[in-house]
Amino acid sequence: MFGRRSQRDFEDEIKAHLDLETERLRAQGMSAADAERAARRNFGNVGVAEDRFYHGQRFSSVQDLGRDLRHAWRALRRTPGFLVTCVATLALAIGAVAGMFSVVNTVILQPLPFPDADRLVVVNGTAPGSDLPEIVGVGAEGYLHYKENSKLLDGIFVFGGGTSTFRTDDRVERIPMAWPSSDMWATLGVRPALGRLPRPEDGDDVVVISDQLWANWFGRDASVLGKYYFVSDSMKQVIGIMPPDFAFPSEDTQLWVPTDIQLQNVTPGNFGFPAVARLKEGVTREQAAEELTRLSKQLPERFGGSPGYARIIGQHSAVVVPVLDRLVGPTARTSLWVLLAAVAVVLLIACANVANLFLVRAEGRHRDIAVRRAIGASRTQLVRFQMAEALLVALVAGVLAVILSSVTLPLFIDAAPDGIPRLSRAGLDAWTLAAAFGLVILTALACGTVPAFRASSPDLMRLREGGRGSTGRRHWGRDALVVGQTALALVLLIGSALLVQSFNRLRNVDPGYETKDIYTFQFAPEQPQLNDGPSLGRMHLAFMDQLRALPGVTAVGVVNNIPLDEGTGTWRWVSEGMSAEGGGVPLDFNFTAGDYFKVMGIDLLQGRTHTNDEAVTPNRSIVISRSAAEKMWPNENPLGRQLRRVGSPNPVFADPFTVVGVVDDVKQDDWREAGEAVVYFTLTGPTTNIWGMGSPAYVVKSPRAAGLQREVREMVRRIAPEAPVYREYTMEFLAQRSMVQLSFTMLTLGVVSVLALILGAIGLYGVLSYVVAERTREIGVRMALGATAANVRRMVVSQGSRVVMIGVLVGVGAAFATTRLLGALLFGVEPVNAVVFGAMSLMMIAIGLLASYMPARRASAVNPIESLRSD
Amino acid sequence: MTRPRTDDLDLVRGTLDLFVLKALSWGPMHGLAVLRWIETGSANALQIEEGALYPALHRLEQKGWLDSEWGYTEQARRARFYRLTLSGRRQLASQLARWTRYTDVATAILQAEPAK
Repeated sequence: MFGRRSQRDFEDEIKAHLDLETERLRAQGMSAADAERAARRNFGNVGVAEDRFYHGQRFSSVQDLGRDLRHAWRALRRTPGFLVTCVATLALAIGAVAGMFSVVNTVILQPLPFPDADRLVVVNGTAPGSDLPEIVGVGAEGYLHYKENSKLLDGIFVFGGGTSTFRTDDRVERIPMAWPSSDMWATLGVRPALGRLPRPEDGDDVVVISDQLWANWFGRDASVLGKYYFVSDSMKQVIGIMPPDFAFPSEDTQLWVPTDIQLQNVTPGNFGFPAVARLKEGVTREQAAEELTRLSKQLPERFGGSPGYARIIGQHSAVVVPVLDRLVGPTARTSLWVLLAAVAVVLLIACANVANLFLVRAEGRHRDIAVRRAIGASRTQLVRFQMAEALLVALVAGVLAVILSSVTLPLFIDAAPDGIPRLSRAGLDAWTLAAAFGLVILTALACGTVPAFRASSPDLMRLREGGRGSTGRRHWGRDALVVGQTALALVLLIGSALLVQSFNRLRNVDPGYETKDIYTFQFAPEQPQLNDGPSLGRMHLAFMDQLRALPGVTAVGVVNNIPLDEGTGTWRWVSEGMSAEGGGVPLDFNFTAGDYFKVMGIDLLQGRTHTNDEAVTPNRSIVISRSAAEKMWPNENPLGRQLRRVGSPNPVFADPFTVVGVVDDVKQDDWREAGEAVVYFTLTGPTTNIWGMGSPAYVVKSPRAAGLQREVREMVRRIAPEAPVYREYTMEFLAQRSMVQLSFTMLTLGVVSVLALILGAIGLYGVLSYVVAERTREIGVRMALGATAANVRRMVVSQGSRVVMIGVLVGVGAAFATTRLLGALLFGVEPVNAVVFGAMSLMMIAIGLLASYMPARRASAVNPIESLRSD
Repeated sequence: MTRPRTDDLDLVRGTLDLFVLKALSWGPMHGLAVLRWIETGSANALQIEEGALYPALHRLEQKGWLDSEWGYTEQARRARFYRLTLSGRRQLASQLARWTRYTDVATAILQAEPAK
């Protein structure tokens, strides 16, 4: 019977004891319930006794974590307020970090699902000093030359992407598709799950479809292979179905039309295509870029082209980046990292709060711990026990966090802007669970270590004092935690204030057009009689008349590339006096008809817009935008002047176009950019066959803009039942969508920083409340000696504000160092902005003072007599 | 009026042990009976907190001075019974002797007249 007894045995014994006592009391005539209550009361605290038994076990050498945890659980259950506060704080923070981690991991860190994905790169070019954009594609000639001559690449392909018509017997839609060169499959190292790869003799008459398209349109019926459907511009045969996880170039690409570039069709100088290449084993991106730059210098010699082209090539160098960097743009990348950093900061603040609570709790248990040490618990045991408590709190919080983020992650993904590849696949995978578990351990260490060691070495003298210090002990550890919290919260506040300001600036940008009360849509008719510019022009003019007849509609127009939804193409131009030798000036081009400028509220500055007559008969009238006029004829009247396109082999462009009007600039893609220099043609060009606008975007001005969809669909069905109606938006929606990246990041960071602020304030409040409680006696003495309530309040508030001020100083310093990381997201505001920094610091100080005032009031309400007697 | 609580260190470590050993010298008892014995013996002037008693019982058991086993009371209730071991009995004797010597000395000091 010697040796250790089990905890269970001990619990049994206590139960037996309580039973006996209850029985005895009942025998004395008490009711059963009263007897039991009395027995329990007499016994005192059952849990404390059990703990004492446990810690008194002198032979407990086994490192029994489970037992530690069971005990910690008991101890925690006795203080439910503490438990709930800690768990809730940590669960929120861990959940947020785990969720953001899963997003960052899925989108940025995980390799793309291709074999040896780290060898896949995007090849582009740059020609600093030229008038080309900063980054340009490789162009057909570059692609062909690289493909034939590179020694360092294991395959290269080019691709275009967009939406186009897909039509089966009973259904027609515009779907996202891509036109890759047929070496895409080999370069990426993928092949259809069903069917075959394209062969050279296929031409562009075959398609490979996505698993999703196969499921949604064909119910996974394998007989679809070999059938012909209308794709984009002709009937094409389905030859393969890709596996479900294949998503390239974008997440929603449904169909691939292998489109190989023919050597004889190459016009040098259109740096149009992005190319993707696979590096050979062991080749670095720098080596590849160096080789491709060298190869590119040979292009003018092989393909000819203008002197301007040769000059650009002279400045040209190849740019080789990992394919993932290209798929996830800099804004999305910045947003995700910033948000992950922000939630990590919140977790830090939460840890500081919980560590603080543990410290306070340990202080409160000082006497108890001293007793335990006295009856033989070793220091290791006590540390272990305290750590077990922290671990337990973190574990429970971790479980809740996982549940929490499994609920909130889908909401977050839903609210996130479109176009972030693989975002929809973020979820609670093994990585995230592992990360969450890691966080739990780290959190437990962060929250438990200091309190555990502090608490396990109590001076036994304090036992004699009754565990109640009457002098104000230094609490620098806790003060440091509050300083840290304040600083971190301030950094987040400043960050989100900068984003809020960017958002406001961006929203107030004048893009050159209105967004209110405008409905836009497109449809793509395929009718044999619609085969040239005039026939399409007539069809559109007639349909615009029908739309104008709708109630509430005041004006209708069409445009080929509507701002905020589609970019425009670029051609190069010369004015009368300029020489084509220079390569011309790049101007964007677009096509309009009807009251497009009026609907969009784009100001006509000079001259006139196109007439309806010009929309349906060959003509050479163009309307240009203000900055196009300034580029071509600075400080001169552009009306009646002439522009000629350069670099086109088509003889139609040998003759110039005449400027009939000047309109204001518009910001086509991005309100952050300057307005673009644009040449507007109308629906029919210089000849009937040069271009045909099959599916321009309609713009309809009406107060009912948001409610027109059904009527319009019905009208289209009557005139063109074969045509899909798509890109149906209000301009207001498009404007919002263009800012969603910023507004989303702003909102999320805003929520996160408010959370940080609240946690920080709670931390300060908690520390000061504790200090006040501990100094009750001192305060009592002071008041007995004549200090007024105001004196006492000032004393406490000044103690709080000292800590807050230091925190604010540290925070401002940290913000100086970190806000430039927001760079890609900011607009119209410098990363270091005195107003924002100052305002947020003041707010932080104000909240700090508020958090100190409440404990201060409590302190000043101390009754001197009672506080002295309470010892 | 506050009653003296006896879970403070001195009693926990010294006197309480002695009380327990003494109680058990009359025969095996369960925890509650030990408690009652001490309280009755002190005419209810002393109240032992159970939270202190049980750890003391276990400490003594681990030192080998007590032995314990599950049994049944007269009312057929299950309880854990403690009894003195041989070394416990020796311990009691030596502690009693020490205690008596200590109280004798203490009493002598307290009753001593001022030196002439």
